[in-house]
Amino acid sequence: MLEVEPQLIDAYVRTGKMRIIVRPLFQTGEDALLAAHASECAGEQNHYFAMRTAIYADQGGLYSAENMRAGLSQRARTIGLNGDDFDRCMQSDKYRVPLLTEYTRAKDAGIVSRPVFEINGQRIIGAQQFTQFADIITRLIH
Amino acid sequence: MSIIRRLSMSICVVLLASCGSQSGSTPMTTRLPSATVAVVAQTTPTDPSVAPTATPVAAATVTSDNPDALASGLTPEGYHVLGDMAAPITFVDYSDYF
Repeated sequence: MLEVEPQLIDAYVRTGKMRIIVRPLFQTGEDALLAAHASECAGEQNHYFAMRTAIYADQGGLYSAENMRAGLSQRARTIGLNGDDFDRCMQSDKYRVPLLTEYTRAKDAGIVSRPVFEINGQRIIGAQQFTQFADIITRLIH
Repeated sequence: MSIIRRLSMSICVVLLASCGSQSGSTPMTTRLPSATVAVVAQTTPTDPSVAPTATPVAAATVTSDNPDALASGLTPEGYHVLGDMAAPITFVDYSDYF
């Protein structure tokens, strides 16, 4: 979604035709959970999507960093978050259980791989090009 | 010239100088066109196991690289949502980082 999501946002979200709902799905371990936790902490300061974008934009750097928590904290500050509040939130680990619970929920709903998308309930499995999403969305709009 | 006339002229000179100085040293602020959007009110999830809500902000400037400037909030179930809650298309992204 690194390249496709901004296109979807520009074409459909900014124009009021579509909303994007994010449901976290963890299959890649502790680092992914930490990144999702960081997004939730950013959400407390109304910057969930900016943090998500920042993480996507530097996945490689974060993943290979010696101290991923420090990397996330630095990015939080870069996007304008209150760093101390963000760090406290991260240290609390308070979103860990809800996020893991969400994974169980998704599995119960039949989501067993990633990524998976639903467009007005129509399930699409696997990464897609923007044009493939656009075809479906255009059909639904008209 | 009477003292009163001199004083009046001095005051006029000071006032004119003051006006000139203000317009010369302070550039006019040019406001770039910017769209603002109201953020969708966020609701508290009914399920306590779902991530808690964040406090909504009133409005934000839309820029090309700031998705948070678009309407955003939480669904009643507690999932983060970007865009108009009344939009005809709902795109759900089940995904993971990395």
